[in-house]
Amino acid sequence: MLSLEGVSFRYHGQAFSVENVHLEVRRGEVLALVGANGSGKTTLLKLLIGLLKPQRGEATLDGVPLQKIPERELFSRVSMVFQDPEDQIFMPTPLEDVGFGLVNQVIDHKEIYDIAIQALASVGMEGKSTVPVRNLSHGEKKRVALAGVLAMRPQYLLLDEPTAGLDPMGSYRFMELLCHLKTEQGMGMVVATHDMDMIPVFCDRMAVLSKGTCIIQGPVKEVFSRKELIRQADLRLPRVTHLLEILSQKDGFPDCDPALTIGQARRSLRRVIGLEG
Amino acid sequence: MESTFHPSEATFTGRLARPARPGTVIIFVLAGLTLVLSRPRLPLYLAVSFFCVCFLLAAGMGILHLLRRLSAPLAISGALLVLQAFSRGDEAIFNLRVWGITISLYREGLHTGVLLACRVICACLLLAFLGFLVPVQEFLVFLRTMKVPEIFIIISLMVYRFSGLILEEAARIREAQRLRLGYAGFTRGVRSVSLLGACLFLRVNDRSERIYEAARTREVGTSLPPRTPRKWSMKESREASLYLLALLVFAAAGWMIRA
Ligand SMILES: Nc1ncnc2c1ncn2[C@@H]1O[C@H](COP(=O)(O)OP(=O)(O)OP(=O)(O)O)[C@@H](O)[C@H]1O
Ligand SMILES: [Mg+2]
Repeated sequence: MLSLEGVSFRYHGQAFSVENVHLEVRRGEVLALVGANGSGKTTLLKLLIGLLKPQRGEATLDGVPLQKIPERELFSRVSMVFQDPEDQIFMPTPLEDVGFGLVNQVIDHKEIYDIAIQALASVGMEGKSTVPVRNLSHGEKKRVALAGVLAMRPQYLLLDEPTAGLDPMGSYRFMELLCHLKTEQGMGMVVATHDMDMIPVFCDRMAVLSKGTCIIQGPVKEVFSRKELIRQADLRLPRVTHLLEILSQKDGFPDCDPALTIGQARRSLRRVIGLEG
Repeated sequence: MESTFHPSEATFTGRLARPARPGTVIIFVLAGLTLVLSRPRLPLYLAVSFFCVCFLLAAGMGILHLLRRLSAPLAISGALLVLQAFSRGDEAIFNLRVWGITISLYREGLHTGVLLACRVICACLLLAFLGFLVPVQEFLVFLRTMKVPEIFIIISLMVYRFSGLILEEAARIREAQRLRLGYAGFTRGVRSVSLLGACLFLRVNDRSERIYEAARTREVGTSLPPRTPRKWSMKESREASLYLLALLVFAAAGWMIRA
């Protein structure tokens, strides 16, 4: 279990601070981290991986404080995909970049090529493995950055807005890939995101941040039922939920079961019009 | 020289009662640089260095910070000193025999080495002085006031951005490498550092190209200081001459002590 226990943190000389945050993610679970711009999502992720050191409280991995875990072990168990792929990719071609981490893990050199190509294929980039990174589009760079981290097979993966800037099909496939990793490898994930529609489909729990404090966390359905808190944090409900809400408030639709995904909404609506028992 | 303008210090006024007048500092530094670079006199170097160090410390720069700032010029001047002292001149001060090779330390080389080293450190101190007390925007306003051609202003801005970029990019690459086990162990560390060096130049080049494009689409206007030059006050020139006078007195005193 990767967790923050009563963590407070302030950037040197800045007013912004993270205050007393408790957060935990288990293996085989996806935690969504949502909040307005500047609410501290990236900061929390960096605290979770030990790039920033909390001034109060502790970040722990399976109960051991991150500071006590050797870097080699820590970063092969926990990995992070940065918000900006430019921060992450530094080698001249995707293949070399994905290979960088693999060379550092003691892996047989013959295998490295296969693993790297496989990782690139899982994000749909195998065809561009030797194109200079500077000539890739933003979305393509994001995919390469992800591949570089996936190739290392961490137990916990922290993703900072992984689908922002990907095309619709790309981001859907990408989230599916994450679900696959979750069930197949039991990977635990924290996903900072602004994509409210994606959360009910792919995430198990969510935490809402506002100005550096975690105002609510829990199962996705539970958190989205606290509409006032969601809006207070400058966020919104998933679109279908919003639609059903408008239908019942403005058009006198009878109250139907709350729905967060299109499938759930469809079922509720069919029940209301009497197509389903 | 790139470390002289560090963005995070650009607006620093430290423990000074009031921010130093940019004009004063700039004139002082320019005059100081001219003197230092044209007159190879040890007392002058010592006076200028002494003045700058005292002022910087009094203005609130930590001594460790100052040393870190000066680490590059110190290393360079140390290398210069050694090179000169062991290779230039005829009159050996002493000879050392190692494995049958005679290494001699020359008087003339030592003399020029010390002068050169002091000159480097002194010039860097003056620049540190400028970078510490004058925000870069003010510096650009000054250039404009002095009717310096626009192209020079753009170039200085680019140099300023570039120097920040190098540090920024290096920090980013290092973090990315660290997360992928680049620094877990000695050999990996060495490998990562050399890779960092190799990638850095390309990356900075790329980034600066993009920044230049962005600047061009905005006609470089928004990131430059206002077009109207600032009023030049008499006070600034007067203060600067006082600084200079103080400096000359220092130098003269040093000269007399030596003579
Ligand atoms: N390196 C830093 N030094 C100082 N302040 C920082 C630094 N990084 C972020 N901040 C500040 O901390 C606050 C939170 O930043 P953070 O990046 O965690 O927000 P975020 O929730 O990820 O926002 P976004 O949705 O825009 O990515 C911001 O106000 C930002 O200005
Ligand atoms: Mg962020």
